[in-house]
Amino acid sequence: MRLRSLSAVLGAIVVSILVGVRLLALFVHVDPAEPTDAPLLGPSSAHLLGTDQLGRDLLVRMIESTEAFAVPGLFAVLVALLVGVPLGAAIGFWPRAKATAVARLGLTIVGAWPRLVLVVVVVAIFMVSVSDPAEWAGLRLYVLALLVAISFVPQLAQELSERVLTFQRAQFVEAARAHGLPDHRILFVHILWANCRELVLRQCCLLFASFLLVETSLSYLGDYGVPPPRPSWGNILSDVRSQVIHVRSLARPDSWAPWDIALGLERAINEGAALALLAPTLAIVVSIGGLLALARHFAETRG
Amino acid sequence: MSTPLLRVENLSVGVTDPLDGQEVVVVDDVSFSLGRGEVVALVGESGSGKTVLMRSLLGITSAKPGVMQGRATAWTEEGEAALAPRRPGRRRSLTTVRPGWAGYVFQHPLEALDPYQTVGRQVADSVRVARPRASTAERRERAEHWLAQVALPNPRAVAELHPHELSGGMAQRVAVAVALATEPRFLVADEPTTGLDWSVRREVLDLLARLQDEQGLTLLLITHDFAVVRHMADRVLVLYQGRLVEDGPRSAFFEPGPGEHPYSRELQARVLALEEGRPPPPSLRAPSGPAGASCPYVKRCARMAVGREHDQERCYSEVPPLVPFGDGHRVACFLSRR
Repeated sequence: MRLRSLSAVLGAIVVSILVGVRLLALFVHVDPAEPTDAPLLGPSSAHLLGTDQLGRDLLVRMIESTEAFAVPGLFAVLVALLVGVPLGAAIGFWPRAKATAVARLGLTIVGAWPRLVLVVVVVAIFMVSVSDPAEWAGLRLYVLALLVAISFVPQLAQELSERVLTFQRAQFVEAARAHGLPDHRILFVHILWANCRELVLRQCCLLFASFLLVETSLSYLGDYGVPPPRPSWGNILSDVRSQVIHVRSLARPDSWAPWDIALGLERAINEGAALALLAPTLAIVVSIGGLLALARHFAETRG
Repeated sequence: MSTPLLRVENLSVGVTDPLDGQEVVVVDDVSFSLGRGEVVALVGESGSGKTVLMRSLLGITSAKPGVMQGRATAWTEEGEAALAPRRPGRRRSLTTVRPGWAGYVFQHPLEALDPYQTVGRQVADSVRVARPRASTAERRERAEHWLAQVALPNPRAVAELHPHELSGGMAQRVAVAVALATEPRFLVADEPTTGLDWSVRREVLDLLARLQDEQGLTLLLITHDFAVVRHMADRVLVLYQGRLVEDGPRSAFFEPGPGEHPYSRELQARVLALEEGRPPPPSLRAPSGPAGASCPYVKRCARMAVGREHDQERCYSEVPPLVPFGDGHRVACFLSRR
């Protein structure tokens, strides 16, 4: 299998798993604050991944975590598309217009802000300015998504405008003009749809991955991400932070023989609930990796 | 002349030089007219402004912004349409007569086709220009009709191909089909045979001649290839450094005589030398750019050695106007004699 199709397959698998898990989350609604069993249990038939330090089922929390990023992530993609694509197309198609210069300046200013700083500052202002933060907790993720989308717009618009500009000067576009095709048809059909589709799809993948990263980072850090007790891969990880040393001591093998390493891992999983550390980490790495693979696939098919 | 189709009066086109930002006059005070159904060849050496002239008339914007001055009038089915720029720099073009009134076949057909759209869709897009109300199925059918018209075998299969899957000759035919599908009255072909081998060249020319005949097109061929001129043209326009130096019937162009322009003579002598494998006649390569108030050709002119004293002085002090030489023949040379 060629590498190119490999990245497409990997990306497609990861994305379909994410979609599947998100759909599954619709059916496994439980009270996120309610403990179901003893804390820090190893995997068993009752709790496939064990329980966390408050005795909540880890698998259920892992599944429910997809609620934190799936729909807000798509919202971010939608916002970036609605703002970035028209902006990029217009800048590339009318490179000499005065409005283009203004738009470029605006994009440069927005693009100069570090993404995380922008997000933290604005979410902080948002949380201070609303009267009852708890009531707005659900909306907070959408504010987060909006900010990530806005911080992503310069990148999308910039790349798209460069692509549109090269095609705008291509001879086949001149030919289409000479034959009397209207501008809108040239722009939408011949430039955007036929020649920039993959570029936009690639940017969508990158944006979604970027939102996932920002959401889990902020949830891990605390105040600005998903408010506990609602789960997120980020805050599951931060909840079991204190476990790290304990798990490490359990996992330390008596010798480097393979069976001793296996034994150490088994101890860490069964007695130290190492899965509470491993599962969210793996989930984040695999999801982002899959999205990047998909982005790479689009990049290699003329993105 | 037959019914007029297009009259161009005193057209000048300036282009900004990308190297030093200076305005360069590429087309200088050109006037000519075309009759309906004529086949006209536009000849001249590289850089003489042939392509710029036709492109500015057709409103094909290049990367460099050009300034266009002068008047052009087109006669369409609906009546007369003046194409004078309202003020200098404001472009209007033949495409504003009606979309698709004029078609253009590009020099490099592969570059003139969208690489990521099938051939059929591109032809169908041109059909949309001519028939905005046609349904998708009608457009597809029409596109296949045009692909068949340009003598492509199995048009239905060709319609599904992408440009990179075509051979040079096929791509040129597709480019012609894309241009014809807008149902133009006026077709400009920019070196339609460059890069094609001799057999395909002949096929493309025969195709253009047949379509011109059937559709009643006015055809303007921009070409270096005198075989094309001899084979097809009714009339020849000669451009030298952006100025029209001769405009006459094909016979007047090819038959040597005292009436023709010395530059036309030189061009033919060069082609003939190439065909017969002789070394080319010696030439004084003219310095580029207009020579101020003199005949632009004066530094290369073979007649300067043999002309009359009185007239030779005028060659250095005045720009020769394009004057009628009888029977639709015009020459811009003080030394030409009836």
